[in-house]
Amino acid sequence: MKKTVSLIFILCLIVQMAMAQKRSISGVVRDKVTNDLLPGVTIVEKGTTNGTASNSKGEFQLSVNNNAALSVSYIGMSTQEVKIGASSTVEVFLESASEKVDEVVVTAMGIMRQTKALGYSVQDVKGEELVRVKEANLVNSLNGKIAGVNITNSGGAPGSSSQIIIRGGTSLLGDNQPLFVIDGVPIDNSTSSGNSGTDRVTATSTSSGNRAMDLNSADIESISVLKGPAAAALYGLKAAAGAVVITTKKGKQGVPQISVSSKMKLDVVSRLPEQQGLYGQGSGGAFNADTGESWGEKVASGKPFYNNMNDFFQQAWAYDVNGSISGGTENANYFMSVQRLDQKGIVPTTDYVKNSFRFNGEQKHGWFTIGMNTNYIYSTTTKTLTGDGLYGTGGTGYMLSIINWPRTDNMANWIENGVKRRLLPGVALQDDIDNPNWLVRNNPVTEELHRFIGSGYVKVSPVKWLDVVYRAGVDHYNSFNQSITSPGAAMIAPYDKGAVSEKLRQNDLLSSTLTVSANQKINSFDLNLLVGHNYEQTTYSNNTQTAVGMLSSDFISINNAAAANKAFDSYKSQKRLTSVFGEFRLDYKNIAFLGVTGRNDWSSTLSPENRSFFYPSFNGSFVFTELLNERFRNVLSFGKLRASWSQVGKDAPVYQTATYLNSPVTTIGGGYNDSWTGGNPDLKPEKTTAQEYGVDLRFLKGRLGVDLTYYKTTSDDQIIQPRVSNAIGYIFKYVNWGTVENKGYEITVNAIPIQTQNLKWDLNLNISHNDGKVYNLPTGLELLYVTDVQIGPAKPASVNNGDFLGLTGQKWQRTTDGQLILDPITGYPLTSTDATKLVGNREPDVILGLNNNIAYKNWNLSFLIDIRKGGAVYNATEWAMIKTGLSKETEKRGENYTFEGVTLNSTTGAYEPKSSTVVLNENYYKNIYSAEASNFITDVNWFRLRTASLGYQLPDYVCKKIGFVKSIDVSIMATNLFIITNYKGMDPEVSAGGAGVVGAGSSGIDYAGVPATRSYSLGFNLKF
Amino acid sequence: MRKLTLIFLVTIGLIVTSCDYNLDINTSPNTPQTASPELRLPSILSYTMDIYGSHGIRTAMLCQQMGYIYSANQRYYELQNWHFLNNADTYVWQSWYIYSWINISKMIADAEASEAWHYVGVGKIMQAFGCGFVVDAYGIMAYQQGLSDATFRPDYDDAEYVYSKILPLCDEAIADLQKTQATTAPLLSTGDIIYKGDTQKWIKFAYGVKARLMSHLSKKTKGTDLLQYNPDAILSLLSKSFASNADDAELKYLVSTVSNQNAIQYQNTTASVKPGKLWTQYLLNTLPGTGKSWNSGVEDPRAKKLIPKITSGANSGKYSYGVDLATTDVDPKSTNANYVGLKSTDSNKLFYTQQDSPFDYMTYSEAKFIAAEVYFRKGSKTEALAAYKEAIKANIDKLGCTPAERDAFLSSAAVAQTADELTLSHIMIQKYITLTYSPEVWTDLRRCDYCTDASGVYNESAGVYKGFDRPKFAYALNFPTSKDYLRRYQMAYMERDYNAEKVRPFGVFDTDYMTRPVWWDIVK
Repeated sequence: MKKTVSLIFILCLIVQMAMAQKRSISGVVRDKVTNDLLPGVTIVEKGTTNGTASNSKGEFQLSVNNNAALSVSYIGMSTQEVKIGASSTVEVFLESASEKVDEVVVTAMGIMRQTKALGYSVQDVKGEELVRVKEANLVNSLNGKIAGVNITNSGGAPGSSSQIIIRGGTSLLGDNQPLFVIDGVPIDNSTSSGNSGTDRVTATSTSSGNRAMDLNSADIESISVLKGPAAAALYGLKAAAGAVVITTKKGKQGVPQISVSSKMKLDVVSRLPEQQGLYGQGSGGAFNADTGESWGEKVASGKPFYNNMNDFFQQAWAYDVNGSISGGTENANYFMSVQRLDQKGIVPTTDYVKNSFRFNGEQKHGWFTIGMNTNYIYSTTTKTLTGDGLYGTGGTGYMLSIINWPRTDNMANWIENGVKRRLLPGVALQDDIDNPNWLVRNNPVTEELHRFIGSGYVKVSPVKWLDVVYRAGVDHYNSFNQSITSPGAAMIAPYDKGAVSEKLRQNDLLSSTLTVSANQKINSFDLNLLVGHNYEQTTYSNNTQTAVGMLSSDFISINNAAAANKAFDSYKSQKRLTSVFGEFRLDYKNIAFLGVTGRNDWSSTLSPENRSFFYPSFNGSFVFTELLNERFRNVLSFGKLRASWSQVGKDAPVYQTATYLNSPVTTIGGGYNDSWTGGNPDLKPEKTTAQEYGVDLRFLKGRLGVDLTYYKTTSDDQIIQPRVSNAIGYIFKYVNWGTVENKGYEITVNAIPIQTQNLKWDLNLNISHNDGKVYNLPTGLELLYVTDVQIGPAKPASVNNGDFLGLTGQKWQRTTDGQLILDPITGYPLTSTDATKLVGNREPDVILGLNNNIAYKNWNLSFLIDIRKGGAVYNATEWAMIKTGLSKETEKRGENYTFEGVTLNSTTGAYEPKSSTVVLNENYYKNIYSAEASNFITDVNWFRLRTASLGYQLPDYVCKKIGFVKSIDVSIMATNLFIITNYKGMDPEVSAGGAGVVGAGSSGIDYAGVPATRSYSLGFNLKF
Repeated sequence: MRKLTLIFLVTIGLIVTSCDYNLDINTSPNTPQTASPELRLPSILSYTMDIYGSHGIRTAMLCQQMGYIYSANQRYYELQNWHFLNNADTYVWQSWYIYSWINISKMIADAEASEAWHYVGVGKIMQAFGCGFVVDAYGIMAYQQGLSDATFRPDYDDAEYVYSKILPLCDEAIADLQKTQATTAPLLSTGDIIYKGDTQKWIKFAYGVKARLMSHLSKKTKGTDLLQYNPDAILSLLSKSFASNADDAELKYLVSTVSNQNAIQYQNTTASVKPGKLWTQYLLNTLPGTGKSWNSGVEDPRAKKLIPKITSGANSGKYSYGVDLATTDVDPKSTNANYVGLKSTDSNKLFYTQQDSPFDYMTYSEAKFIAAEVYFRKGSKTEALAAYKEAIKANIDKLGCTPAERDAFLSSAAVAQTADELTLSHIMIQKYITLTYSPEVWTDLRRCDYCTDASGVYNESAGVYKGFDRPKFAYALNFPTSKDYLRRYQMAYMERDYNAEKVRPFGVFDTDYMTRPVWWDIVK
């Protein structure tokens, strides 16, 4: 494969003496790895604007000055400088840009720039990396590959969300995920759950997808991650949390490229919580047929004892088929692709089916280029109820049913004579536990999505130094969500008679962007100016309809309920944003770079006085190695210092500048009352200020690269909706309050430890640390809770002068000097329901991703090791298992335990020391042990082999024998092959409420969701 | 190229100029921002009733009228042991401010603008009534800065201050109700779900509210100043207040599948909410000991309207057992058939807990009990006896007992028959029964110091509420010694969490906070 490996750049010179001032040269450009001819490569005579592009056969001709040098550049490839000398023909081999000094990345507004010119850190992932171990959810593909990016998969359900946070959250109560931009247009990456009041689907009721997962990884050429406001400044307020800039593939000049790939994947449960293996159904140590709890008697040996939890999950297959065709001529190119993904879940009945179709096309005419990128996605997801199930119905999610199922009963026997076998036939239906096998088949939650993402653009370059680009984009989707409760469910009336709720969401994001950029070289300075205008309109609506109490019990429909038992609700919102922005860049001899940006936004969500806001950014970099002598540069090939300072504003959510009424009340007499959220006409924009410093060093001609970044981001005047003193008449009020400060570092190491003719080992290490803190909350208001996820004795919260990703909860009562207060009568610790005590910080101390890619002849082995140190995970699943007596911990039941503490003297009211030996009984576990949050919180470390793949490219002669096939790749892959962790529950990479939970989010909350999976897959890839 | 360029420029120009740049679109199309008075009043009246009733079931737990099955960490179970879980302390506070008062305040402002004086008057009565029961329970509240737009951290006022403001509000309300409305103003009857627009009844209620609030000052120096105990003024107010059960400020709920149209105590009770032992002993007059009315053994005719009967097992047909606060760590279990839930069922249709039961802000019977107590305290025992008997009679009638049952009971040993025989205990224990589920019971218990003697120790012969002892499992952290009684609600956690600096000076974070009497509970 590699013809020459000791040199990074190869140029072949055929020497010919020529004395003329101006002469013509000709040449060809090839891909160094594949030897393919490369069309459309830009060839410019260095220091001039004289240039051309290679034709469909990779050939070019150019008239140059004597002793000229050529700069040969191509997207995704290292730019090469070729000295012509006396020759008149040249052959240039371009090499993929990864790990090279002259790497080109996509930056804000789709501008391609050399990394060496950047005053801030940008990392990217190439398309081939994304498909090597192709994840169903694109966001997961970024895990471990980019320093400073924290990705939390919400669980193992197909079609479930994955949260991406770059350099810590900046917003106390807003979405902290970055802006997603695809081919220059912003798209929606929201994760929506239902509404506890209407369809009763809360964030923890089921899994929901984040909308970026609709994209097909195989369509993607590259993903650039703009990590901070400096990098994303041009995108403005939506990019305060960074931006993920996605570029899809384009066709290349030449014969059509056809590729077909297919993958089969097998998912199995990765980890399950430990269960007790001694006690059976009952309470108080005795059998009780009326409870599903496992507080019964010790099971005699020989009696059946089932492993209901493990037996419940299934092995799940997924098939992913991709086809694409691409090609082009000198003036036109196209790329078309189709994908079908059919993924089953480890929970029976669940699945995710996605169909994606893409067409990208581009046509040039003179100085005009027009193009469009279109993507249509149709997907369906069948989900199961998780957590507590539908809000306020008395039912449970499937996992809580398992936790409520005694192991003395075989849960697999769920149907008897065609009807549900009841676990507790002696109790009222609503007090029974639904068999999870019945639950998943009868109470499904489904989603059907139609989405169109498209953009059209025109690029005009009337003169060499001027580009005008206009781009219009649309991201439209509607999703139909349905939740069914079958008659006979163990729920409170009227849900036990069956219920349906349906929600139709529609989201439209229209964008229009005009940019004008000019480039001039004056002496040693390269100047670049860009100005632009942007307009965006987001329209969202949803309609919910619900019906409870099915009239005919074997027919589930909104229509099958009495009129009085139906309800509907409608919501609409619209938001507009107009912006002008500009950027000025200056490049001095490729040694020093300076960039300045400014942007002014006008947002409809703020009052007229506050809606206009301006923010600037500055960045600079200095390539000091340019000043060093050649000998030194043999060791330190490249060295750059960079620094940036930037600001980004952020507007408010819609409709918060006024106080509204609630929907009409349903109490006697009807009428209206005020909403419990107070509006605030004086809201002003949030402001995020970021500083970033970095050094980028490459040694030994790129064999080793080290990049260090330190950053500090401060977000002031947060627009938050805290709970406030109710005495002002509202529970929540929108205010500008509080500061979030994120400080951290990122270390990236790229190395090629081995590089020989047949063997190359690439290594990429990403280490990051972030520390998110909250300041300036008003005195007396010390906590901001995440309202969507409040389970058991702890809940996620941001704490003033403390952790952004905090956890607060209940603790046993202690005296001011920390002594445990014991109940004077019972001797057990006194509990408290005050849930404001700080009990953990969910932010990891360090996350580390180590990517390895080893190529040996036709073989390719790659694996990603993922290490995390620190960061609290709250095991609310264990809390539920303690309650029902299924937890391993409860095997200690009956043992004595001695508490040391103090107790109150009932005559004097004073504390006196007390030592009490008590029995660890059912009451203790259910009511006392469970009320101490620290019993369920672990500071988690893990070491996991996140992905591994082994690929083999069939030798050329095989393809030649077949004839019409250009190449055949076969690979086996695995994810989550093993994990070593101190966490006792399921996979500690959890997020009970998924990516849709805003503010401090629900990462690190483990509550009866779908456990993460381990998967094995086999794939092949054919090119024609 | 030229043509193309032109087309390009024109097209872009058209697109860019055709975009709708209007940014004044931040008004929600989903819900309105204003509502006229007749649209706010029904929800004010129904929500306030729900809040008052939910406050009532909490105080019923605190006051041993109700009991809860053994279920550690359950709100009501803990509440009967005077342990306030977070959600126990906050509902009344939160709902008063966010469901009632904010809407009352906006309704009054709108009604004043449209000269809908009757709405203004009703609003002021509800403000006085609601702020009254909130400050009685919590001891402090944000009154001056309550509902403030200018701060998120309002200051709090003592009960004394609040009383000084809400007592005059009752007079203003009466004046407003006597005014003539503008012809364009909405008729009170449109939004009035209590009295259907009868301003005379509202006026009687206003007098009643003021009398009730002034009667709370029984520990204060006697005198004629606004904030002193003034028996004559109270009796004068009462003379203009309720004249019969027909005047009761009552909301009759509905049989409905919409749960919040069902009676508040139907909503609040469950099969796990059981009768309290003391309450059943008062109703059945079986309190052990003293040989007085309360252990006369005469069954109150209201017992069968209030106490459920056992439906299975050996004791089937007998009255449900009452929850004994000495054994609540073991009894009752939810499976024990001898303890029957207070939520009405087909076999136990009880007065307050059916879907269409009523609940009252204030009743004629209560007014008579207030009179009886005031007469008693000023030494007019004959008038006290008459008012006491009329109060009992009115309540027995209200609960739907027969006149024969009523008269038999009134002349029995369970009721004081002579002025000499009459004690404060007679009045207050009968009032305790009559005001089942009413927050006033706890106010009375505190004013009368439960069943303690002058030294604050439980004393059945000296105490007013015979047999009312501390729960055995009273939460040790807050009530460590036998002299520690519950004197106020734990401060709402929303205020402790979100306005900590302002509530801290009132001692809300001290473990003995709840043993500190509110303003009117301090003898002076």
